[in-house]
Amino acid sequence: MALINQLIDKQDSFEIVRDQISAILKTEMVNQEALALTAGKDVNLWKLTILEERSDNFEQFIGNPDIFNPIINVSFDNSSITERSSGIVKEQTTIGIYNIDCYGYSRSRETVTGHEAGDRLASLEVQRSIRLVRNILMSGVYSYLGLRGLVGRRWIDSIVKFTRQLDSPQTQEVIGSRINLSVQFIEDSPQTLFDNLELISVQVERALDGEVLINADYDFS
Amino acid sequence: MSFRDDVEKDIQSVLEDDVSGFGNSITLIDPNGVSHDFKGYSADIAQTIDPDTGQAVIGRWNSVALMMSSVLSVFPSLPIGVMDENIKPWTLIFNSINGVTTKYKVMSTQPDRTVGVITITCSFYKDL
Repeated sequence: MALINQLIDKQDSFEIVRDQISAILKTEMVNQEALALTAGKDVNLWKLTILEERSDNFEQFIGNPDIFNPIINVSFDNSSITERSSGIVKEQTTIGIYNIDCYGYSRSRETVTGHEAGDRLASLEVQRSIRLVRNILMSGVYSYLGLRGLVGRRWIDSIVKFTRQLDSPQTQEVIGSRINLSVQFIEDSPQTLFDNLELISVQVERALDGEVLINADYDFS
Repeated sequence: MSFRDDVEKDIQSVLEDDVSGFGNSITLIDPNGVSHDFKGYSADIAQTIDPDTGQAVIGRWNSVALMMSSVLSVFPSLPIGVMDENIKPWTLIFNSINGVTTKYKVMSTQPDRTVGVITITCSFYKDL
């Protein structure tokens, strides 16, 4: 006989945090573009394509070799429960690890005196995207990722930039990197639903002489 | 003529045959801007690459094969991948099978001095 009589149709905290990370990056990058425009800067340097939980082959880098916006893919990687600060009944303190993968792309281009090498440009592109993501997520305004009460802390554990594989030369230069973001949050689960037996209203006051007075309002028979 | 010379001639007749073979017109441009049209073999294929994130990216791999003797009859040296950004790189121009013309930078070369063929790996390049 089933003991859980409520439909489980809410998102778990790890999903809420994942979606929030993507939403924060999207919202802030739109704002960064607006700020860059106001400041008279090249807006393209503040454009990122933000994706979430994608794993199909990226074909963004071919077809139109004039698009250079780095691609960001936010995905949940794993989580672990901190036993010491968790209860067995209701709430568990969980550390979730999120991979924020950044892909930079560029190509070689002629200059007046020589050329700019595509491999270096691609590497600088991915590092620029790392810079933007790190600054946004580690900003003080996002100490709790806008989810205070659910999120206890967020921390970038590591940033890794990958070198291009030597045995797979590419016509377009693509460099990948990964930001590991760890987030501490609370997970809860369906609990026993209790029926109200009595509704008692209680008002606690302290009299002038220090006596504690309790006014209770309840039905009795 | 030795057997080795015969091999080189045979390869040349295959690589540079653009009438009944796979030969394609390939323009090679040196860092000084001197260009010359050659006949050779060009490849442009899709390739799955993993930037080490576990995410597959559909990449593209372009390469060209030319006879070293033909290149050296025009240029004083073979093309190489140029790292120095103060120098213009060696570049190539050739068509895809659908007639799309694209300019590429010579990324790296693999000269085979046994049979006289130089294979050139290309990357995208944009003119000023």
